[in-house]
Amino acid sequence: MPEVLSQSDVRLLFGRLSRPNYYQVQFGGLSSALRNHLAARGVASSFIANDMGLLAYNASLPGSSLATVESSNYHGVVENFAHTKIYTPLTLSFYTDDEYKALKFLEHWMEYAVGGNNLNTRNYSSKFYSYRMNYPDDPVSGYKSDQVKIYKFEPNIESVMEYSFIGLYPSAVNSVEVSYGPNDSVTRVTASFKYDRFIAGSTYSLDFLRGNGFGINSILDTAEDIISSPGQFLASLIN
Amino acid sequence: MANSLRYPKSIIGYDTDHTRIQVIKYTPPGINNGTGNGFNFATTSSRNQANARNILSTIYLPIPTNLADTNVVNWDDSSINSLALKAISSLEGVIDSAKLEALQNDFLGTASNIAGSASQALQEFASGLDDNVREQLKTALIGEGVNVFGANIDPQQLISRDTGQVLNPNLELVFRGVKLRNFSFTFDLTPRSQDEGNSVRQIINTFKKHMAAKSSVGSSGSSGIFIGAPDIFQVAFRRGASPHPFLFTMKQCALVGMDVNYNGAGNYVTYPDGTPVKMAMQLRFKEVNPIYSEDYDNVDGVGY
Repeated sequence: MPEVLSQSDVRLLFGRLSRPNYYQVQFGGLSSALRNHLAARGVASSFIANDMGLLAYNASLPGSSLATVESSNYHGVVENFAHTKIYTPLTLSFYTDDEYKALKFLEHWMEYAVGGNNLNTRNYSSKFYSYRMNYPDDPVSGYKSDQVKIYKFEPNIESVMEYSFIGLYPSAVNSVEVSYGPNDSVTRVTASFKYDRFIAGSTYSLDFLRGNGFGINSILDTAEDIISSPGQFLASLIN
Repeated sequence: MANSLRYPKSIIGYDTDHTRIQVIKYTPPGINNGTGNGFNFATTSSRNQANARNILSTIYLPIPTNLADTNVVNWDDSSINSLALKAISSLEGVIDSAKLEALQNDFLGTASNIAGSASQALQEFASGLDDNVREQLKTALIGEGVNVFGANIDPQQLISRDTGQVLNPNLELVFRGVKLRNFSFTFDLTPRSQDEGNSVRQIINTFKKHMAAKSSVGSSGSSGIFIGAPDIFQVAFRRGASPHPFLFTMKQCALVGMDVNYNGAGNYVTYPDGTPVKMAMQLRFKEVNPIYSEDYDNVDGVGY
């Protein structure tokens, strides 16, 4: 039976809806060879860690779907069974700074992925240069990152939803629109990222440590637990 | 000590389903039968049980992209008409009465006696037939006789044309024997690091080397006269350190074919050390021994 509710009954729920404009993108986990490559092209590690994420003015929380197979063991009924989780590419849009570091970060990350033939020699600009790939997951020279995260939170930062991407790299940089016009517009660049999978929820939260895994508990919650009652926190781990 | 190779390097863990392929030195079955009056000849598999610890190499791979087994037993149509069956049973008595010793002592005389007895048995068989059957038999014999002149007449067709009947073929499916199973497994190989690229190279090399015949067998004096059999392989699907709880079991196999596509990415593209970005390795195995019902007594999962 439908329940008869008053305005006050739902005010609490609908008064606390999430707002889409509070989020943060964080880049990290690049291999040392990739960091060196980017630094040699004017993109310092500090820019990658601190500024690149802030320039992401538009992001989509990642989507996923379940591939299914059908069965008709019961005549007239089609049953569906999930068998594989499919991840859709991540799309991020960035403001471009006046030193083009954001653009360089994306372009040179992709350049590095296909830059297995030495990029530091004059051969690279030669007409007869040929490409070789870099290994994706090599601990020293890999081009994939396991430490790119998107945090979704609210103004009071009481709760955080964390998305951690594993095996992420830029697969496409859209063409950047430049045109004569008013002086109040900003150059923007949009890139698509492919990744192996993502983990929704804090990877180092209390849930993770207790083995509950991938719940929607935040790092901040966990930190708060530790600070407020360390004894209880330790007991919760043991139990 | 046998070397161990694995791909991928980091994923196969204690709870990961994977394929384990052991390289085993081939032991021929030999030609001596079992003890006493038994006829249980040794098989390559049974010989290799003793050498189960003599593993030359072990290769760990993911579960192949195509995973299927095909069990086949050889059954075939068999037909024999009633007249032939009757004739056979009449001749059985003649054969039974012939003594092996008599054939050894006087082959020609005994053979002549058998022929006489057979002729008599067939005459008795023919005299017992009714007129209708005898008429049809005559028609069939006429057909056979005309064939001497190249007429190419089927006696069955002649009887059918004459009487609208055919000899009952007593058609039945009969067991004809066992067959050896074939397997084809394809593995996608996409090295993620230089270490994994080295592993893939060594895995391909190991399969190629051990599936090849050995030319340098025998002592220096006999070298070049014979070539030796390749090594064989024990393929097993496993979960961690245990046999897979569901998938099929395989007997020892010969690797009869191997195909490697080094352009799995669609075009030639490599990493700095020359390792292709994507490869597809297809292994075609054939079991060295057939599957018998008793084999299922000691295996779990779906069996063989």
